[in-house]
Amino acid sequence: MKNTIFIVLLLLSVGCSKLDSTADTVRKEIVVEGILEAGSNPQITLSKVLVFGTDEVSNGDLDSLSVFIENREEVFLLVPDSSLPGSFSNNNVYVEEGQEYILRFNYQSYQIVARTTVPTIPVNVEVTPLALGIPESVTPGSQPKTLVTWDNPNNDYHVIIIEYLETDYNPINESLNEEEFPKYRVVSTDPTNANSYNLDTRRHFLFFGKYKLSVMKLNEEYVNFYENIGQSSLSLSEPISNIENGLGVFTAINQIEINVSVYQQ
Amino acid sequence: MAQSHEETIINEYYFATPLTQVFNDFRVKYSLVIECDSQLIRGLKFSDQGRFSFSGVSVNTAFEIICMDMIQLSYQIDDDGIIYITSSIKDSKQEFVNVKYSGDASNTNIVVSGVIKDAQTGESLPFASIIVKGFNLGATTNNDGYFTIVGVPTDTSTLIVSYIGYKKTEIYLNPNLNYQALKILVEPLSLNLQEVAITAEKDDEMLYSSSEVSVVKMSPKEMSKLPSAGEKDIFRSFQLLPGVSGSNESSSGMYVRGGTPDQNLILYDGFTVYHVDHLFGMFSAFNSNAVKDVQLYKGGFESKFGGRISSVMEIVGKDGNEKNFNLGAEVGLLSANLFTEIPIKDKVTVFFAARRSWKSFLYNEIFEDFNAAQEAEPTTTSSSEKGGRTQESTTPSSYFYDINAKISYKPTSKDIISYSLFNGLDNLDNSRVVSRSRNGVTSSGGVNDVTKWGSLGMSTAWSRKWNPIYYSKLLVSMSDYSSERDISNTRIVTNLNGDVTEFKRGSFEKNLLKDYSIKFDNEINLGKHNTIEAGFQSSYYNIEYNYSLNDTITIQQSQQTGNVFSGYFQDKIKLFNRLTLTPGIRASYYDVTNKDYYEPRFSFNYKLTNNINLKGAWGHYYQFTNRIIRNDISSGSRDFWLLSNDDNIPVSFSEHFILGAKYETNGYVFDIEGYYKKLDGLSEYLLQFAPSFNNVDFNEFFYTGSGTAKGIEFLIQKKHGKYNGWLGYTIGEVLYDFPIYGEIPFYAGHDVTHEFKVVNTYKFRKWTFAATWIYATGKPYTEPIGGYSVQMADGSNQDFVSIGEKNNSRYPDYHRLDIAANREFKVGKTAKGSFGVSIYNLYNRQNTWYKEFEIDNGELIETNVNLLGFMPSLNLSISLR
Repeated sequence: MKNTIFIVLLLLSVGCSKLDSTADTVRKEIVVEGILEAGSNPQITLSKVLVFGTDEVSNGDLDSLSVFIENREEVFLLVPDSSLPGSFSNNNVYVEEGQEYILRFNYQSYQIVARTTVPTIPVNVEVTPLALGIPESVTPGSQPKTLVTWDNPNNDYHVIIIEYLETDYNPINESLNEEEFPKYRVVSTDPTNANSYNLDTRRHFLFFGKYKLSVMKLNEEYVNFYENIGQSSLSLSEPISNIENGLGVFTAINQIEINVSVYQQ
Repeated sequence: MAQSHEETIINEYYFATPLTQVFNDFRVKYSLVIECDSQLIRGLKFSDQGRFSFSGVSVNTAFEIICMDMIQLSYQIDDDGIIYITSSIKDSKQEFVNVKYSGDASNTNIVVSGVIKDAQTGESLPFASIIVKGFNLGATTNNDGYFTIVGVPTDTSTLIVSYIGYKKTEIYLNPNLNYQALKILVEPLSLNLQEVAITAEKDDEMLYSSSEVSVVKMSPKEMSKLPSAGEKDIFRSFQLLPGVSGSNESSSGMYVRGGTPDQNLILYDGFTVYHVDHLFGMFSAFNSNAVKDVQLYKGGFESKFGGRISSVMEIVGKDGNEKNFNLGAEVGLLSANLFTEIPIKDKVTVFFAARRSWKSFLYNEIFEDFNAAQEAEPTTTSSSEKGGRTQESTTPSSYFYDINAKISYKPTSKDIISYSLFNGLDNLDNSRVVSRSRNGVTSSGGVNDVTKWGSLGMSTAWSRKWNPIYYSKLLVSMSDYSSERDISNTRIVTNLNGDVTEFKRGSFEKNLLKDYSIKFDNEINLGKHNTIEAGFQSSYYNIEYNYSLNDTITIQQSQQTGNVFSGYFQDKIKLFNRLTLTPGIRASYYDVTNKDYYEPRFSFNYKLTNNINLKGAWGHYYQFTNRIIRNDISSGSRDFWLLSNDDNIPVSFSEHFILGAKYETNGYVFDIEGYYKKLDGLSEYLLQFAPSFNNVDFNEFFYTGSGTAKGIEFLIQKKHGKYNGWLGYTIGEVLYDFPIYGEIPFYAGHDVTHEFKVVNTYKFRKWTFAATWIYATGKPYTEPIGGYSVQMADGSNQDFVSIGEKNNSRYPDYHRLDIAANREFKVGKTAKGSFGVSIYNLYNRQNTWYKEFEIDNGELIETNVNLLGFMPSLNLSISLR
């Protein structure tokens, strides 16, 4: 009896062994940056993860990879751009709305694959007003706003990118630090799957002058990747990526651009 | 000894001398050993009137004279010469027999039954051990202190009663006793005992590792001598045991054998307590002055317990002193504490205790340490810019309190009717008020930052010892847990025209749980070989959970109700005087899933030799209420209770396998237990995989998984003596397998490979010195292994960290040394008190709580957020008795 107990306890003890958690997993070290835009040539950038505690890595050897993009069962080779290490494109291919594109290349002993479908262009986009007048005295919370609307029967994700077009900055709020002006030249809303968005002078229009609004339809893989909560050890997580055996995002967008202005009343 | 008494001549002069002093004289000058209940002779004075002082008297004559003068006393001298002073007034209930019967037995194979009580207060003692001397036969008292032993060889057998913190006492049966209604009184170890010679063995163990599998208890009285972080605490004390993780400073909840705190069933006088933390989990909500007994079942627990898959902690509240009024107070650097015990006409006792925090430097330090980790530190600022003026002021107010009350009514010696109440609340308020004026427009409002949680529980129980073989208990209880969090900004803006607009942004969270239960437990002693336990339980749950952002986005909103109906049956079978087998089954119907759940369980205990016990258990366990943890460092981790539904939250399940052995000598205990647990239906709520935008079904972000926990625990304990304590070591592993994290199992966040604990106490006169040291392997966390940057759709570059496998790294090892010194003292004739000094984390070890990561120019910036450092505290308590 004593021996039996001893053996059982020994087995339990031996069972507390170190996990071999990485044995069967591919270590993800290639980062894909690929945002296809309808009507443009496909362009992607590859890079490697910078492993903390090591010297800076070189992405030079990535240029020797054969990177393909597939559409309608046709395969196109993306050509490395010698001026931009890790950058690949093909000027003979144009990204088309509604089409699925598959990115595929081999790195070391495994294949990296990602796919995306180009969304349709945003429909019935309206901006009210096109010229936004700002009164001299504004009560906090009652700032004038610009309403952007679009059709969205399928609850697709949209984002609005607001780009300030003037050369010189003319801030609405005088207390805004001048050194921070360039930071607000291009701002973006969070993705939303609603059909409207209010732009205001606190977050989107910080200067008087002309702006370009790009209302961009997004795919879910971009939204998943965009969302990156938690950088503490209590909740750290890898951004959700649609790259098999890799990191980053391969997605497509379709956008419409509208010019607006903001002026002092 | 008896021989020497015949030769001893007592020659003393006494005039109105307290009898206590007389007996002390006898002990010191004539080396007599006198056993006497100090209560019995309190206030009695003796004058010898020349009978001692004229020519001296023999010992026998001296005691005859004393007992003749004080007719309420009688004396007996046993074969060893020990003199017993007892009451001569025949009390039908008082069957305390401490003189060995020298005649022949009249009956054999008898049933002995009764109740075990504290000799000073009359409180019944739950889970006390009573065995028949020289035989492998005995019993443990139940919750109400009742016991029954069937098959006691003769009516002249000797019983040995042991209970931690009390004298081990021998009870000699005799044919004249009503041994089916014994009332056994045992003396607590206290200062008063120094007045009498102690012949019985001291049972001054702080820890009692039961021969039953995975059962352990600690003496609440002795626990107070252990070091603490400002407040003595039963949960923190249990964390010093092997198998219970001791390196979780941010939670007083217990991680038992790889389980999480919500998987422990915490019963306080029969009702379930759902949240045990005070002050960010620095200590538990249970006031140790209100606790009579605590027993922990680390696994493999019996069929009468259900609804949890890891462990059971059974806490019995104090009934109150049956004999005398008592009042006590205690003050430490975190709280002040008051309790009273009121006996009313012999049959009713009332106990009441209340504790409330007060703001010492220690309280503030703990508050700020934990608060700063979760939120911006409270600030007071005043700035002036461009014609505007902003005033921001903060007056953080936070407090906690708890109340324990119990009324016990004993209409007969067989019945106990009791009502117990527990109420605790934590209110942590770090709100700020803002007032701003600019260009004639004023805005006022503030930042609400309120975290509040509390429990209200109560039970009413009627227990009856119908006869020596049947005991029943009917209990009706309710438990109410609430938790609220409001982190929001409120602004009230008044413009030049006097128009007022109000804005509110932030997050609001509320969780309410109500549990109404009825239980009916029965114990039937069918004979020497079988003790049946059977009963049923019905619980109704009502759980509400709301979590919203900015008053507009509802992340979670649920209102759930459910019923669990359970019945159980188990038979404790004793065979060959050495083997105890306890098969049992619990069956439950859960109306939310409309399914039946069967939980077969089995445990055994085999007495291999007089010193060695082998023990083991196996069982199935289900859990229907789940505490879901939402980790969110930006606003602090929150947890909330939800009902399982087998849809997105499965019913949790665990299967336990336990095997162990215990070797015990008079002075030492060596205990080893190995366990293996299968876990299934585990739930996590992870918003980190959820986009934080509109129109998302947040119910989709519950993730389920399974796991295993295994380990071996070792305990070596020195039980008695001036120096005692224990060494505990656990080697363990907890693996989780959640598909959302990949196909490979990973170490659970609370996995600790090695945990070593040393607990030492040394008694020197009225001082007790204690030191505890804990070493634990660092817990796992998910470490970034690299970083990368991606250009987003708006042209900006976003930095990301690349992480390895889930929980791929570990924090630095945890270790901590705490020390304490306590001195007991007397005030006047009956009042007593103690004064304690404690230092937590003596060498100021910077143990890591968690890490924060930030990427700056491609470099990872890692910040350790540490747990509490060096922290002294003081404690003073005083009571009338």
